[in-house]
Amino acid sequence: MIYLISLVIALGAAGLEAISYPGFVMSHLGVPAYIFYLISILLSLTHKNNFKKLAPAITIIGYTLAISYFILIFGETITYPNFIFSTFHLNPATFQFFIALSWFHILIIRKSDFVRSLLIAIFIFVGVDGAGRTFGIAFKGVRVIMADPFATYEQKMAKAYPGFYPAMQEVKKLTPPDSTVLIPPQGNPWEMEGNAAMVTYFLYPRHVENLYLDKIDDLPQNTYLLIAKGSWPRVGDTDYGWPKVPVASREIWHIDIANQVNNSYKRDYDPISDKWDWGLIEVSNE
Amino acid sequence: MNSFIAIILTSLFFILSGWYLTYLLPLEERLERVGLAFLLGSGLTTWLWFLGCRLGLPLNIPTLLVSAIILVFTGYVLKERFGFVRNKTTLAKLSKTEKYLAITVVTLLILAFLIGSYNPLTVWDSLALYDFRGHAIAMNHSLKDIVDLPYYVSYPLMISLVHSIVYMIAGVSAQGIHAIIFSAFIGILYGRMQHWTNKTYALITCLLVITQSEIFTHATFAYTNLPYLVYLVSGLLYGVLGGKNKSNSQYFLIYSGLFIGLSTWIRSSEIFWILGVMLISWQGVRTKRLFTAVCSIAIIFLIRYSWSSFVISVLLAIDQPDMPRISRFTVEAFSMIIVNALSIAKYAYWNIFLPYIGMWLLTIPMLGVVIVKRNVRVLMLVCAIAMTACMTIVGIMIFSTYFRTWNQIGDSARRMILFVSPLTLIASTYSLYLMGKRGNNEV
Repeated sequence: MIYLISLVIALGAAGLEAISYPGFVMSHLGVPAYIFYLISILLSLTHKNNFKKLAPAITIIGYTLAISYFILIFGETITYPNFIFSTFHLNPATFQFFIALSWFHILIIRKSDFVRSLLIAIFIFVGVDGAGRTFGIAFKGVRVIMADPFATYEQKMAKAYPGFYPAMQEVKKLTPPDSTVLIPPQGNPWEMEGNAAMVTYFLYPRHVENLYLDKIDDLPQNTYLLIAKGSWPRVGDTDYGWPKVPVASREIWHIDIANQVNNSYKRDYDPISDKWDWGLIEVSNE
Repeated sequence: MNSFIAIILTSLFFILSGWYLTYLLPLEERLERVGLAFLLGSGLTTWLWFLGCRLGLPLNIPTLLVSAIILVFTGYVLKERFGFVRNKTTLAKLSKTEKYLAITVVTLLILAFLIGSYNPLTVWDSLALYDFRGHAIAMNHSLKDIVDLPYYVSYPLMISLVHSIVYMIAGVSAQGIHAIIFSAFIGILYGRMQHWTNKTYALITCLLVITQSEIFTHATFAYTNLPYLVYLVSGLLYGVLGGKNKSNSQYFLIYSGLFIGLSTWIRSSEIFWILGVMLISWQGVRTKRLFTAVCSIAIIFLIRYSWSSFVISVLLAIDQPDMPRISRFTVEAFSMIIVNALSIAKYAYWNIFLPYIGMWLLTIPMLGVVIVKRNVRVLMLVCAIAMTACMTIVGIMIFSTYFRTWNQIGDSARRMILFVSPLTLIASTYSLYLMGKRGNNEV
């Protein structure tokens, strides 16, 4: 009888936390819900198996709970984080405890021994959650493939890095492999195009270096400067657009990603007039 | 060339390279043999290739073939001298339930491969470090430009060399090979678990491991955490021998050392190879095979040293001091740990305990199994899990003394101990099997 009472209290506590928030029991009763879980688990050692007739019915409840949880987690994975709570007002983390606890007691009532029941209950805790998420991730991956199964690597990269990747491909076409490409300083709004390791990946074997304004004079031969507005939303004091000073140039290119064309000009770069999203300067040191 | 074909060819090459080495172990499962051959082939050919590069040879296809020939020849000689007569390793017949489990496992692995192969390489470190080095090696046939920056030698080269092979045979993206590495591990896992338990338990373990969402996700992109997990856990699996002083135990110990050594050829900064050293020492004493244990540990140190000595030489050449590390327990360091104690506890709770809460909970009933069944294999696995937790906490404490932003890279800490999931799932499934059996039933 004591075991039954503890079981009802523990499942009640787990259920309450599942439909409210983790810590609900603690904030209202001053005792963490885990204490009730633990007491019911320990009291199961005293269980004399008087509820054997209930076994089939509660097993069905156990399976229903586990399958429901799997579907909910799958749903959250393929939609958005917090989908379960915002739609069903159910806290998945504590609902997971509710299911594991239910399964532990179901197995005890089904005459499984203590350690085995505990192992299986935690397997369900780990396995159902993991399976829901994994199948969700796999589903999302397959959905992406099915949307455009024959996309080329370039098309997929352009989708992953819109603007940046096509611009890098153009820079690669316009510069010799042994040249140096100078990029904006690393920081907002040039988080991507100012990241030397990232740009090096796309422009290799060209040498890539960050250029700071105090070093913009006296640039060596075979050097190119990236023109970049800044592909990240501006959050600091630094305004969009780079380079911010005029640069003596042999040739400058406006890389027009939207229309997939390069417009070439044989004149110096002027930051006032050449406010382009992407472009390239071939430095002149004559 | 299509990336699919390049990855399949590279995988076949690795399997062939490591095939003869599998004859030193009396394996029952063909899947395990294939997985073992792949992992040994990929780990050892790239390692020999790198050693050749250190001796001045170029990193190109002919020298790669020489590395593979050395491996095949060594394997052949060892097989002829010490190898087991090959058992009939056939694909086991499966019951209806087992077939469903097997179909689910295979489907998920194929999906991981398709997703990894389809998606472009975009994850930061995989792109800027591992894959970049792969492209640079394929282009230059040397370590030119890689040895110029400390960042590029911050991790060992194995994964980059594997990528470079795919690029040398004109593959476009090498990302899909990470799912193959994972599949090879699943082959080993299935073989080991089938040997210890039965087909159903083996398949359940495989399914549980694959459906850990973080592990599955890692199989679809090109980080090194999953390959590290694969080699480390395989090494521990071959190290946790049951029984006493069996005739073949020395080979298992050697292979354990090989795998754990190769895990340091993927990620060298982690200290979990020490788990392997402790386990092998324990087994050496327990099975009275001290000499084999010493050889096995020597292999770990040899592989580890081959990379660390290279890094030191590179850092000296570019006049770059090594990363600041705590070299001794100073009073300052100890007081910093005391001051940060609460932050360290919070950090460990959010990034080490909570993400793996199910795994830590599983160790509680496993302790019950250790007591009830007195099974040395479960005891070893539980000790390995407990040691992982201790080493991680101590590591965080030490890290907090010299790395200013230590508490801002929780994701990294979580990924670092990704291997605790398969390790715990293996140990607990085996425990569950033991609980359903009379006696110890150790194999």
